Amino acid sequence: MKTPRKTMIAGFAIPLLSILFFGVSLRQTARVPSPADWEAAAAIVRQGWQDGDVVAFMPQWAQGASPWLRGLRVDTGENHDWYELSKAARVWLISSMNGRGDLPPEGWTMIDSRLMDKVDVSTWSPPRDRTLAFDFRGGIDKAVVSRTRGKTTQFCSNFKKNRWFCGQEHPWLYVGQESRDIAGRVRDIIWAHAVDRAVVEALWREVPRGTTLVVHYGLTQRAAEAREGSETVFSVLIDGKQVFSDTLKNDRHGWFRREFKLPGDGTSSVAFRVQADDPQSRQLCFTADAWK
Amino acid sequence: MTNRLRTFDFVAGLFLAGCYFAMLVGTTDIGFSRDEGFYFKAAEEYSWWYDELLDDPSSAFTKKSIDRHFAYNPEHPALPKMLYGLSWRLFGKMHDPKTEPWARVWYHNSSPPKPILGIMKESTAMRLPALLINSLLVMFIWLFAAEYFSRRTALVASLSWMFLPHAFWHSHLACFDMPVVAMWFLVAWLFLRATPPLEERLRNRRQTWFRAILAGVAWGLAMSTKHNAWFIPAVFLAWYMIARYDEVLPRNGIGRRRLAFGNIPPAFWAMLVLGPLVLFLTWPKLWFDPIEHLKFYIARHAKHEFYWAYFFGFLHVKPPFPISFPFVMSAMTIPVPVILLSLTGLARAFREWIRRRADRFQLIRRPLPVRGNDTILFVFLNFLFPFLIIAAPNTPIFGGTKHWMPGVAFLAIFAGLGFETVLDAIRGLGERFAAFNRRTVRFAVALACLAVIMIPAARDTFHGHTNGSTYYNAAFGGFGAMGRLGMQREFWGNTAFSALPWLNENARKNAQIDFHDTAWDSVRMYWRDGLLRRDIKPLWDSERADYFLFHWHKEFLDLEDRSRKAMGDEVPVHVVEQDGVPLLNVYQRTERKPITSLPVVRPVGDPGGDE
Repeated sequence: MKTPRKTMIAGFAIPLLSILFFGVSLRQTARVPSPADWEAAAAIVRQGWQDGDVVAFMPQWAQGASPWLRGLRVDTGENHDWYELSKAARVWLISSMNGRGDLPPEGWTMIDSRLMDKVDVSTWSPPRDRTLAFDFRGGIDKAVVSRTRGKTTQFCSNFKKNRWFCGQEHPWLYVGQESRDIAGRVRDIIWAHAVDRAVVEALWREVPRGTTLVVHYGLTQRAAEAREGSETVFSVLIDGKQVFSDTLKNDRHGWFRREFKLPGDGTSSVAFRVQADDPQSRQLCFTADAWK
Repeated sequence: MTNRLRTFDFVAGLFLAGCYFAMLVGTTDIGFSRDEGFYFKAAEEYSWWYDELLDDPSSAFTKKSIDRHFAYNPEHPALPKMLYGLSWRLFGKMHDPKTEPWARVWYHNSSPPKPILGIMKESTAMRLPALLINSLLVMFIWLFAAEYFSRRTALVASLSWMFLPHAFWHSHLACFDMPVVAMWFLVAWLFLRATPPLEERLRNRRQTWFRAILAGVAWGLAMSTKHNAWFIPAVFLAWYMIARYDEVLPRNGIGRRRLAFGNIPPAFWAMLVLGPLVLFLTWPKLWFDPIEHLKFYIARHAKHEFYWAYFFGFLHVKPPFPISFPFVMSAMTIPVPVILLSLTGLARAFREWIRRRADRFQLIRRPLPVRGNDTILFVFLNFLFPFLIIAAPNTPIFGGTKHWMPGVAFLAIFAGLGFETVLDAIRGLGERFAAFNRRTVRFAVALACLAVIMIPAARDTFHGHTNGSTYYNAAFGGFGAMGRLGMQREFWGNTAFSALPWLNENARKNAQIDFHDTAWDSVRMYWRDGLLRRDIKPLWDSERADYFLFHWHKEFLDLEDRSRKAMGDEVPVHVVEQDGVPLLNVYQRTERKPITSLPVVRPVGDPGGDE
């Protein structure tokens, strides 16, 4: 009985696919930059460096060049945060391996590009259609932080190390600057852990009008993994009026973005509220910027 | 009936085992994982019991002596650590604190024993028994496959196992995970030999009982290696009840099934009696309070803490864990050629087993070289069961691939069977083209096919072997999968090894290093092996240390951020990477504080025990 064609195809497919994947594997290794490649890329960056620049990588995890970039501002997050990068004057992208050829999001403009053997270095200008008018995290000292339980409101007046405490310092019950792993990377955020039977509020009184308010919020990676506590409610109020509210389930991962118009002239008050019935591990974080 | 094993099989098996041993010994540049550090310490402490055994045998067997020498790491059986300790005493090249006073801190009770042969590095001496046992597994695979399948299956299965990067990496360590793979495989082989069909057992009662006793002793030794072995009887029982239930539940004259107690295979009885006995004899902690210690042991592993696992960009920290985890991780971390062979072998073998069970032999066009109707099921269950244990949503998955490795050894048998399809294709070539009809030509083509299948796997095994536990195959992007797909990178503190040359060259005198995930006992061994400058001091406190070695684990990213801010520098001064993926970042303090004292600080809350 003759061997069926199907068996022959299957039989020879194994060595043929083995050869194919061997080639793929060799190629994957061959394209890895050497220390000399990283050093050369870093030298290009240093040569053209200007104040306000930042270095990022493509893919972002391929950060082998970091040691040669010491002293510069380098984004070492696990994944890109193009929104935060857009605040820089220019972004240097060191591209290697399967990141070569990948581009920043729409709206970014390439200023310069140097292609080398295993690494490309390109300089990018962020979208220039707006300018940052107010950074809430940077202006944390201007925030009015309070906790409201029923009809009682307690103002948190103890401001230390860019954090507002209600009374004595506490390891996690405060509103202030932090950096936490959220939705794929460590982010610089405003930490606002929910408090038992209370509404936590952070209010900024003088946010310029004629701007667009961009808010990001989410639970920390740890909080979402822990799946503890109850749902967390995050609300945004402009001039005392609630314009947005979101209820985050206790395992909800993500770094969510919302935009609000602040029309007219002068200033507005912008407040953010956080509450949870059971605040166990409800590590809510947010950032906000007003763009003109 | 099985194939009769001949001298050639033992020689061939031993030869391949020797090759594997040479591969292992030639690639000992692999760091010490956390658990290995703990076992180094345990092995060292246990080894002092041998002195007491020689000096005063009567006191060596007292509770006081056992409690003194075997107090550390009681949550794992002692046998492997006793072997590692014995090997260390025999072969290790220790430092003498009289001539090297700084070495006092490197040893238990501040003084090492006198070297006996003193011919190898201390870590290698500790690892030697594991290297030998893990090499013997290659021989077991050959013997099993040669006896129940064919020599070609044996060859391909053995090679497939030898060229698995993760298994190869773990095979270096003085841990229990790979020795228990070897023991599981050995027990399975001995059990199957002791459990032929009933008629054959009745015909060769003596031989059956002899083999059953071997299986029982082997299971005891397996249990004395690691707790994975406790699951072995369940696999055998499942197989027996599917394949041979007619033996113990035969029909009587009126067609009703009755229990034939006497037909239960002797291997089960031997395992029942000898297994616990051997466990008891080889684990001194059981000698004086067996029930209490067993209760502690079982409770420890039944309620084990959950380790984090980074899997496709999601960090799993508690149940339910993804059922797909062991299957997908294996698909990603076994070289593509071996996956292809294994899947082909699995599909073909299973189809054939079903047809055999249904007596539809006419449908089997080219039978696989299988001895015994239910051998395939036996191999399949031994492959599947370890995977299923980890796939259960409530089982901790620990992040690595080692915990279901006993199943992978049986998967290698299916890889061996998968090669039959390649051989069939070559035969088909001969049927169609006269040039390929000659036996020598077909043999040459088969050899070439085997080479093109095994060379990529071998290359994957050796390339980046120091970081072999971070290997992902080419189909998923190679090592780059760690970054691109968001997968586990580092494996429990071993990557510090690759940063040591940089530290030795660049760290200032008396520098304090926060070794992060590297255990204190691993650092001690780096000193003892001369891999770390003796003036460098570990200090698990990034607020004060001069350097912080961040081992890239997703769960530690917040810590990394805090630590580098404490260091005053956001950018690493040195990166250990594998194929472009950072595995470890070294951060350096920007301002150097004047050092007033040079403490050696042990990590706070070091659990002193691990998986």
